Amino acid sequence: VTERGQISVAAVAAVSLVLLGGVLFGYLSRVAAGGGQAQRAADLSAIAAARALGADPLATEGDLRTAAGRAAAANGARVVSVRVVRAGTVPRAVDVVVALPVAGAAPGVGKQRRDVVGRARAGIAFSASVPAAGFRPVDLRGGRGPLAAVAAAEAQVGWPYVWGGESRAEGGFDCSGLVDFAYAAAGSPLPGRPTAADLWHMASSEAPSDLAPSDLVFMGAMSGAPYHVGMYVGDGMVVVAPHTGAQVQFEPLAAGGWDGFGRLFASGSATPAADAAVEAAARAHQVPPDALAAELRLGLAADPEAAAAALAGAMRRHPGDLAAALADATGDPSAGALVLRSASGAGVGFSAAVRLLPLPLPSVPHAGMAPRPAASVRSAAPRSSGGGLSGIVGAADAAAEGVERAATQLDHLGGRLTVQAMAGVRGSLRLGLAAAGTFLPNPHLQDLATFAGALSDAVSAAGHAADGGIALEGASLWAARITVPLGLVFTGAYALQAYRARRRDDRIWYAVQAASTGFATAGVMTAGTDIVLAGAGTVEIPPLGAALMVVGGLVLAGGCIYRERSWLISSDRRASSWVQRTTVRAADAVAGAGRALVDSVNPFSG
Amino acid sequence: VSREAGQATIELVVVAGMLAAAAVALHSLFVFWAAQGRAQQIADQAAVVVAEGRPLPAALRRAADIRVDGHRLEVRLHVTLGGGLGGTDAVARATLP
Repeated sequence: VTERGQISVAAVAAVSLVLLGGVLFGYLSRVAAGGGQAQRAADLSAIAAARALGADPLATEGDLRTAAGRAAAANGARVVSVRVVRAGTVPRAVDVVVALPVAGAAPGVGKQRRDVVGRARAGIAFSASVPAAGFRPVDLRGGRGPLAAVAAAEAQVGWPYVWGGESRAEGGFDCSGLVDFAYAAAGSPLPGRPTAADLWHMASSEAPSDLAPSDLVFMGAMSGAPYHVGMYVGDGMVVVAPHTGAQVQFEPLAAGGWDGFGRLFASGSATPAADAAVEAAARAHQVPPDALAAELRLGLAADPEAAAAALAGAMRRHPGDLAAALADATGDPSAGALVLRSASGAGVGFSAAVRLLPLPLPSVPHAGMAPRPAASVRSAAPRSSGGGLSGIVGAADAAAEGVERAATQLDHLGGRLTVQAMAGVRGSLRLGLAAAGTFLPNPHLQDLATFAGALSDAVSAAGHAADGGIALEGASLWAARITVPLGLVFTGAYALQAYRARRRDDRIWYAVQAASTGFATAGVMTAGTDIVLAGAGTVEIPPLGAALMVVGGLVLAGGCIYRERSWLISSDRRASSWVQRTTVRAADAVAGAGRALVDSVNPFSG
Repeated sequence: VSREAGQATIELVVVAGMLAAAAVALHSLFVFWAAQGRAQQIADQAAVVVAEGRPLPAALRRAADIRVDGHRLEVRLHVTLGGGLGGTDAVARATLP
């Protein structure tokens, strides 16, 4: 063998390795890109569906599917499912699942065509506001006539009384301003801006016993020039803007000094009246019946009385601001906005903010790098079992993931250290154990660190098994890709070493390592061939795989104990004597303190 | 022996040169791959932000050249490859809803 030959062989080997590594790297990068594209399609589809729902809260899931489908198709994917997440009947978020066809080929497996799945959730927060230039609109559902006028007047309950007031700029209503507004809203505007006296002259006189909803009631009519007017709303109640310092409110007809009664509407189509129980509760608690009805209709409350009482309290806390009062009463600004929109119709300012949200466990978390309010809590690293290169790869991944999560959290949440970041710190600690298991100068301590790492992996995998599996994303998925071939190589290498080992203990130790690595690798492989063929960001190790990883961890931990049994027994003896001495001393100290305490409080001692 | 040693030295130099060239090529490839990943990451972030109806954060605008034309979003990230290979643009695209 000449030097020339050696160099040539080394050069060919090095170049081959570099080429092979490059090909493998390129292939896996292409595979990873498919997963990223699927996640992008899912993110944008979820946002598109949420925006459609934000524009029309009554949109059907078919409408949302159409909106999501367009966004998915534009990014090369198709929609698999669309689901609206609701609190009661109020939409909170839209979950979208998309599938992206990806083709891949691998030696020994051949050409494969798979659907890479991407999942995303987009949250919706509604907001609504009464137009700055007007009073609160009311959704009369096309109704006109007497009952529409009643509904329009009742919807203004809570506005402050302002003398001469008839516009938002003036901040409220006076008595005739309320009537004028209600009739205009009902599609029957009155000429000019009638005062109470004008209304009296315009109306046909009625007997009190003949009063119907929308008829007017007057004070001072006996003098021929009434100075106050209200609107009869039925069931012996009047809605009125009473006087300065008060608000538009319901009053019993019998409680006032009404001495004149008139009718402006000769007849009219009836608008469907609100539920009698809702009307009664609204009048009893001085709240707008249409808002109360909307709250019940949206499933945000079940009992009209309780809901009316809550709304009344909120209106007292937020005088003149029904949007804030509804947010307060429902405990949720988004739900409050939806109630206001449902009650007032298209006349209110209504919008929806859409934000991408993290998916709840155990669904596959986000694989892309789009900004999120919070990262997934789950630590998804497919950790292998302690020693060996595959163990170090797994632990290095854990650390990388930890740093990534911590950085993401600190970046997106303005520097707050959260549970997610702590999960990252946990991953970094695992790396420390792997490093200790490899680099500590004392072999016993190395095994102790490997034991701790293996046990930690087993506990972590057991948690995942109970939790429904392990979701692989980003760096974790890359680690899983690398773990599979390395795990297979190491399992074989350990098995070969076990076969060739001369000492019994060595044979057992290598067999343990082979078994442990084999179990862990098999666990990762239960995620399927998608790990190496397609599907970044969408791969899950099922509970069975996590259970295999538990076995791998326990086998290695057991192997460490077996290998260090003599050292542990001698250490145990040393530790036992130290523990005994310390325990006796501590017990003595406690007993002495107890005796001193008893002596100090016992008047019969000494 | 001296002839063989001389040949070996020449081969060693050639191999070292080849390895250096391969290293430069790999480095450039890796740099471009990393830039492509970063461009795609920025495109994903920008697409989500734009789709949500928010203005693009200054950090993203500084990181790359981001253009939104209707429903198309394109991110260009200039990357210098090194080793005398000059520079190029890593481009990533997303289609907005």
